[in-house]
Amino acid sequence: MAAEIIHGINSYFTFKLGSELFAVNIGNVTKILEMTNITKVPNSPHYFKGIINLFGDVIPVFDGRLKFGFPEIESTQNTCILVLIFELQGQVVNSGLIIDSVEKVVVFESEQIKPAPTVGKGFNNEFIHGITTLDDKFVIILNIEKIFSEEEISLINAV
Amino acid sequence: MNSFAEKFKEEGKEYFEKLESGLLLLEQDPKNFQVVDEIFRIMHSLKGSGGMFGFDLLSDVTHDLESLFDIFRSKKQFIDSTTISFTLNSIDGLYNLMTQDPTEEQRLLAKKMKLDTQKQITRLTLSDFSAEEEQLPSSNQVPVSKSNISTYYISFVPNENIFSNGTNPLYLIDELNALGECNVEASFDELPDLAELDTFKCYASWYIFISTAESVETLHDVFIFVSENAQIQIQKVASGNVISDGAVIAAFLSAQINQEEWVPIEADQTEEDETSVEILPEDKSEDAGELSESVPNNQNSAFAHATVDSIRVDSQKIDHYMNLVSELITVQSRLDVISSKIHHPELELVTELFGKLSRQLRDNAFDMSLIPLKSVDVRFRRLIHDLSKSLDKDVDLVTEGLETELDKNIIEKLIEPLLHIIRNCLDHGIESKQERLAKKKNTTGTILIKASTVGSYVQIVIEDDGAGLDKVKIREKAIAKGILSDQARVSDEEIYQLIFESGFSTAESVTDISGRGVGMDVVRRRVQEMRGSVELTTEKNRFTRFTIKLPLSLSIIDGLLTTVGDSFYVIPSSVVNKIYSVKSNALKKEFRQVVELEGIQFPYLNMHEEFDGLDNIPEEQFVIVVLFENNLFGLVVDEVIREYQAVIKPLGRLLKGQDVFSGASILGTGQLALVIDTYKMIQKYS
Amino acid sequence: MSKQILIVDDSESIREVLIDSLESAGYQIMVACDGIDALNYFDGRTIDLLLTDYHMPNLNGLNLIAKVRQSEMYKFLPILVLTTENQIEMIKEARDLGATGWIMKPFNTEKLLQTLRKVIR
Repeated sequence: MAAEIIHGINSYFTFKLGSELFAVNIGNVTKILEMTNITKVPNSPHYFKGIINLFGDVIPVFDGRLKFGFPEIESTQNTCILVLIFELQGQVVNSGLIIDSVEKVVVFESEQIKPAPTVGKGFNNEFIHGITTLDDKFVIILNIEKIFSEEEISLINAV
Repeated sequence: MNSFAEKFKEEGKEYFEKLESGLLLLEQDPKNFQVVDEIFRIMHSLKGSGGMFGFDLLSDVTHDLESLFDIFRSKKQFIDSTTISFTLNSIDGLYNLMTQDPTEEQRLLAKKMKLDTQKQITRLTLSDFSAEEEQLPSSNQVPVSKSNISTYYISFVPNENIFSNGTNPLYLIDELNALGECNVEASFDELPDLAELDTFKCYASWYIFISTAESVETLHDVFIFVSENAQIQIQKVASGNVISDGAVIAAFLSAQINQEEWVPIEADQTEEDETSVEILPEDKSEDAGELSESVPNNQNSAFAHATVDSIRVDSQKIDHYMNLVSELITVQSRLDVISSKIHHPELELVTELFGKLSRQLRDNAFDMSLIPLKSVDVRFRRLIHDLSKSLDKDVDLVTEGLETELDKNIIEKLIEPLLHIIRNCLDHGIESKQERLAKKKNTTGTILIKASTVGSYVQIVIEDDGAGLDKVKIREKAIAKGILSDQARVSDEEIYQLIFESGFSTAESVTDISGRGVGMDVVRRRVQEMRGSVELTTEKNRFTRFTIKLPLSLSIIDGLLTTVGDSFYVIPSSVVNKIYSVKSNALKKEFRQVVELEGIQFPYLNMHEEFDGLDNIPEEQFVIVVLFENNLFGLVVDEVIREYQAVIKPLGRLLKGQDVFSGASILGTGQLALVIDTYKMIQKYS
Repeated sequence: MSKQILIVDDSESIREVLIDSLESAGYQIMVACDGIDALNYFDGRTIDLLLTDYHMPNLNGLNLIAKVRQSEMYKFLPILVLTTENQIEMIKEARDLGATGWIMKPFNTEKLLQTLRKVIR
């Protein structure tokens, strides 16, 4: 895939996992796919669902719910795979993330984004770029590079 | 301008390669003037283009190297081995100077290189000629011809306001250029800061050495219109053309600086001389940018490469092309599947044709990414040249079958291991001249590199006629290092294979050439990473032979398509030894997971159990016996579907740790099959 | 693009010789018979060289040179004066006013073109 990371945009793609609203910078999103068959890769961490064939490229797919500690559920009509592109260790990487539903694309100015709280919410704060609100609901803006970070790789390596 | 600079960098690399191979050729055949000419032309091009694209240091240094080679080009002398070695080393230096933004270090390097080159030039011009050529008169004298050529020094310092009467000083320099061979230097010493600069004033001055048959009056005439508007000084430096004579020029300039009187050097009139000195109207004036003379195309080249009539293609483009072809094959196999379901005769026909064409296209694309081993021949020769000099051993390199082609990605990964083996041959294999003499061998050792295709494999043999391996010593060392137990009964072959174990070296002292034997285990690993193998045969005091076998392509392999549960797996055919069908309950886990088939016991892995758990294991399963480092291992699958050409797609960086699978392959149905890396799989599970 | 030369001389024969030699050498020629006439050419068009005689009615060569050097656009225009052996003092004057060089009469084509190469390419 010849997709590129686009920098410097303040539009964000919001989506749901469980009851929480999350967002990622649109510059990191290349595709949204309907849920499809995922080829298992044996002996992987439980949140790594497998690989898919995307126009001739092999893309790994992770389960967003399991990644963030939500209980696994059956896929619904709204479940889809978000294909993300980001930089890891100096190289451009593509990866898929299974999400519960797609919300909308919103602009968040940098003033609107508050830093991640040091307590509460129960997530590993490294994943969080910042917090903002949308229609009175909290939105957690994710740090894509950190989600698929060293830690994860070493976890996969250890398998 | 940037893309031109990039293009020049690439061109530069090619030039360097050509220079290297030319020089190595000259070592064997110093009278080959075609090659000397070509080297001179390449230097000339590097100088010109380098200057044009802002690689000033490069241009500067090659200028001097060009003068050095001019000595040989004008057939005054045959090239000698010192010059060859010097120039080879200089090429390494030139690589370092390929920059438009030099650091202080690079400037110093350039300065040093220029100085060294000048020393070489002086050495050569002061030494005696070989018998065929004319006598070069001793040091302070200068080659002279019967025509009235003299060298003059002209200093041209225009007044600031010289432009105001419509004069263009450069035209005058041009005129001088037409009168003889010139060496022009412009000086901008008077140039003020930009803020104070008056664009209508002239701050430049010129200093010119000209070698010409014209009279000094003619030279003055050039400046006739500006005599009131400039300071002109014309002095005779010497009779004859001394422009390239660094020593004379240096002496003259130093006299200028010290304001000493200079007595023009006159020729010894009694000298018998047949040289006719050519005046090459070398265009060196400020404004004429020198465009490189086109380096002759491969067909006329004195050292033509194996690829004649070739074009340069960015290797990324080839990779992209290969990818597209792989996609095409995948789509074609999907069409195949659909066609076999629909059973429409016309569709079947077209599908079949399409299949034939895509296979041809694949072979063609494949072929394009193959390059002959000959392309890395220079590296071998260079290494042998350098090492044999530093180790003081005489070594001949014999090559055979270097037209054999390999995927360029493989060649790139193969270079280091091959070089390491050669280093080893030179260091530990080939004995010193005395030793060889004592063994009644030729004092010149031989290293043989032979390549050939065997089936879908390429075989590369590196053999030296040196000391061979001492199996007693190896055995002792292995026991001492705990790699081998002293009770173990091992075959000779197994002993030799020990040198590939990490941490092993029988060198008495650690030579820094091939290191602590750290290299050999890396060599084997690299070769195995490419799904190849390396074997060793040797005979003490006679020879050592490394045989490397490599599959032709990294990314398309012949495999066996199998299923385990709902998933597909591909096992590379190259490792498959036999396939047996077994009853699954016969494979109950015993104390040691070992199965016996046809009287042979070997360990196995039940992939279904391992990947899918104990559910749904079919009654009948298949054991695919693979060969792994002389050992047999069984991989148990549910079904063997068919032979299959797998285009291997990488799993991506995120899954780098997933090393039992070397990638995934897209089946005709669009589904993915995981490709098994048998080596890693077995390592993990046995 | 070939170079444009403006020839200024009141003698028809001289003009003809000049036109002949210069045109065959590939230059493009403009012609004027005296200084005033010549000035009409300095209207913003490209002139690569001015070749002028001294003695001319209405506006002589020296004055022409002085006027040309005063203009912004033609300040650095190469100017050659046609002169005879016994007008050496005039040469000095011409230079002081800004002439680039001179051509001695009588001249042959070769000498003419050779001299031209010093000031125009």
